[in-house]
Amino acid sequence: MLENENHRIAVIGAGPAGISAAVTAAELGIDVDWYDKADQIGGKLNDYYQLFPDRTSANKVLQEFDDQTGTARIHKHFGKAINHIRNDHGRLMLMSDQEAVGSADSVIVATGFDFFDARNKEEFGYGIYNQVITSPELEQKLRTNPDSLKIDGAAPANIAFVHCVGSRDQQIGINYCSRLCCVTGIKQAIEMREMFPSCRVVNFYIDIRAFGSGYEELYREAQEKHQVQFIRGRVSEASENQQHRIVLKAEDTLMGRPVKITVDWLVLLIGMVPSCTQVQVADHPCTDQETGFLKAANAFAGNRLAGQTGVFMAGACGGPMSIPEAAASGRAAAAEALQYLINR
Amino acid sequence: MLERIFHPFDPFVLLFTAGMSFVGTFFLYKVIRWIEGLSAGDKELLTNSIFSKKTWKALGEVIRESLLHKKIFGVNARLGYMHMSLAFGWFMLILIGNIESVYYTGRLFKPIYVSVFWRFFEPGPAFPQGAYTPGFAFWMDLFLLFVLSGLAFAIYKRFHSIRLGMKRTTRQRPADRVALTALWLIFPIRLLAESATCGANGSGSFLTGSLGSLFASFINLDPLVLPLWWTYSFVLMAFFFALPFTRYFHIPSEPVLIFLRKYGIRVSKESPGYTDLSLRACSSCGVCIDPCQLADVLPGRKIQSSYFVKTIRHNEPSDLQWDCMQCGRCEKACPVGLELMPIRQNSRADLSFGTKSNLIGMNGRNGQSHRILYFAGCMTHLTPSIIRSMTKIFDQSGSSWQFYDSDGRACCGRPLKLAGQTDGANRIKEQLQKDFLASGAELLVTSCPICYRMFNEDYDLPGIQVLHHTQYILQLIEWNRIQVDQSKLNAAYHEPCELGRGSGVTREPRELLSKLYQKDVTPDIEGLCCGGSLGGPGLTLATRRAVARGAMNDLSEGKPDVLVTACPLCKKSFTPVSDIPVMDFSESVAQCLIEQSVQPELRKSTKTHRKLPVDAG
Repeated sequence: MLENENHRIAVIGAGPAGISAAVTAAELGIDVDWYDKADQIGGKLNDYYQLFPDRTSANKVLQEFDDQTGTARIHKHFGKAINHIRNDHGRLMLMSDQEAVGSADSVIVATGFDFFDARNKEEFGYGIYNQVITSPELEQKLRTNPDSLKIDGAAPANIAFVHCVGSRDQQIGINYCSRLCCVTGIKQAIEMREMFPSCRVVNFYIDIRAFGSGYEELYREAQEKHQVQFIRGRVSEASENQQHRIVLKAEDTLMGRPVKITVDWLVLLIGMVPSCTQVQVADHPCTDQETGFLKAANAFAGNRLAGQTGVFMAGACGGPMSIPEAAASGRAAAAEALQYLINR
Repeated sequence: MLERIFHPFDPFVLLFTAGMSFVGTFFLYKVIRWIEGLSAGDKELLTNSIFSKKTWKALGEVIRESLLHKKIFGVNARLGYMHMSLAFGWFMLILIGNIESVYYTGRLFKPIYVSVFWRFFEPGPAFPQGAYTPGFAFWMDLFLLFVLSGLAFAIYKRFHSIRLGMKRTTRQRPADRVALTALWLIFPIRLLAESATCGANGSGSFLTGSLGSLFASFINLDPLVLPLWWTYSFVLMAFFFALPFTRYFHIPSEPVLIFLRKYGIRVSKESPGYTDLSLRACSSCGVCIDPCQLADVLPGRKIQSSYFVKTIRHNEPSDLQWDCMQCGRCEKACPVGLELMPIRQNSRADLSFGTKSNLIGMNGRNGQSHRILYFAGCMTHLTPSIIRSMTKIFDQSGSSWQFYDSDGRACCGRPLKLAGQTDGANRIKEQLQKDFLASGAELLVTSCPICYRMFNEDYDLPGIQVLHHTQYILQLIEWNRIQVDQSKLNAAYHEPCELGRGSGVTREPRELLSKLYQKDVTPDIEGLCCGGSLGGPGLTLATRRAVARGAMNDLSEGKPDVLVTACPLCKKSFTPVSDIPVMDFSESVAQCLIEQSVQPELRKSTKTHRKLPVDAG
């Protein structure tokens, strides 16, 4: 398809967006140099248990992704973090700690996101009380050692989820909505109810944003089929009682009264924030000032990174995104990169 | 008879006399209004104290501050000299002029103008013979020179304010400009008028005499004498007529303020007269502008106390009262000692929507009385690790204690007070006060400097000592009730506004720091605001973060490994902007605590306790 065989694309990141971008580019006949700071593909998918809304096994999804990456056109350079892209007269140099580790004609940035550090909302007691965990930690427990959720060998009696931790919170300067914590909380609440049928599960929310395909249905299912309790109201603080259980204080804003409950586990549904290893591109500002995520030159027109030529973004490095969305944006970025190489 | 009273006389003195009468009447009217505007209790304070030692003390302070400007000297020596030379110099000119006129006329009571224009009526000793003998004329010349030197500084400062050590200075209102121009002209014209008289009469001391004889050597001074005195009288009149409408009204106001303050009167909503007096006593010197951390963060926004006082003094509509963190740095710097924080708080109340307080959550006691009541405070409930650390420390010390607000519902009332909602704050205070007193506790320990200040300043708790946890922990260590291992780290202490500047607790945290850490690398600066202040509900997160970053930057000067503070709010403010750990003292202590088994009977019984020193008091 391309006259010059030397055209190469670099993909940075091997999560769902990076995998899709690399695989699509390779299928379109381009050689791909593929970088990731980790040693294996999958990114955060490696840490998940089941995916919403239909609760497909994360392992299965990852396996299906991995099966596509065995092509000869993909050259993996894993275990190295690319933190800077330098534009050297049109040639894009991939820098790892001041050292050029490769170069490309076009780059797709798919570095993903970080989870909000829940210690910044100290009032929820994360990092202080052992019984306070985050949603990805719950995923990890479900995936590797569900028994660790038991309390002294018995099923927990009460579990609470707090929505919007590090999301839509002006107090900490994160004003945007992370979109996916709601459905994560709904999914995990169902999983808890299934695993511990005697356990009371309560979700504290501001409002439920079940925007994706199948999400609203899952929300209804959680209430009707699984009797998950949803209380509208922010939790003001968490403390520990003598038995090392967590005491929550909140306001039920629908009923207009204060709520105080004691739980065995408090799960914080933490939001998505820009990755701390986010790539610096050619010293041009290409991040959104408000959110810190990467910004497209024209969000309506495609995935080209603001202020750059030949650099495209894919997945959650541009803002909170689900796995199918990230994968779709990876495929789109690959197509755009190819188009760029043909037309330039 | 009339001729005798008004002798000596010349028509030009009428201008001065008109101005003087105007300002004198106005001042008297204001004094009456101020006193009228005092609450019944404050009026009582006034009548009880007026014939006491306090009056003499106040007089001393008037001399120190209104004349000598000692505090401004403390801020900046040249600035102090400028204020002192103008105020003290002018005062001495009036005083000596008066004595001189009394001495020569032999009359104690005579119109004021006689002493003001004395040199016109009595040209002084012959020049140059009498020029350097220290008579009246000599002293008058000396003090005139003194004033003129200060005036030179003032004019210089207007144009080069930075050189006098102030980064920023205040802007003038039109009326201020009239008064300022008049003030600048008064002394040079006085010099010219006196020199002309002396030159024409061949008299005068070293300044007026020399200048006079110099002028007389090339012009005929006779026709100039009278016009110059007319001008002098006119400038004085202009100054006096403008005075009530300008910042220079602080000159007569400040002494009144000093007296009333010495009598124990403080800014309160019940005494609007005293607040108005305080506003009038502000000289708009601008010393408060530089210490304000918001000056760097919100450049160009005129929100500092100097500007704020000016807007409310002139009843200008503004929302400046909200643009303040109430850190108190300006109050500390104010050379007039104005209560800037209460003034701002009280001005906020007008915008409040009324408080609905349902006073829930008073914990109720479980019947058992404990010696120590621990009040964490609502901010501490947002930093659970402080509560955990305090629990550990209390338990390790074997104290008999009760966690008063374990369910976090009690409020000390200060956040409402800071927001200007005094009524709501008072209702909370009454409830908590009753509860504390009924608890039978002897000691109230709080982790929050905001609560600490409120308990100390606003609560009436006879028989209960209030301690901040840093004070309490230090005593525990000194009395060997807990032992700590010193950390190898270097630490800097961030002094919370409400604890250090606000409540005067400065020694204990530093001592505790030296016991906990190898080296104290706290920079030598006036306590900074962390930006998290409850005092500024209208400030945005970006502004607060900028304040926090600025403060963090200053506090990191000694390259500390850890930043230690004594306030949950400060901890929360610094954590997101800090590269080093930010800890509360309780956490540091809990970390360094040498855990020992506590005797169970010691924990339960209150009798076997070795009492803390505070128990006695």
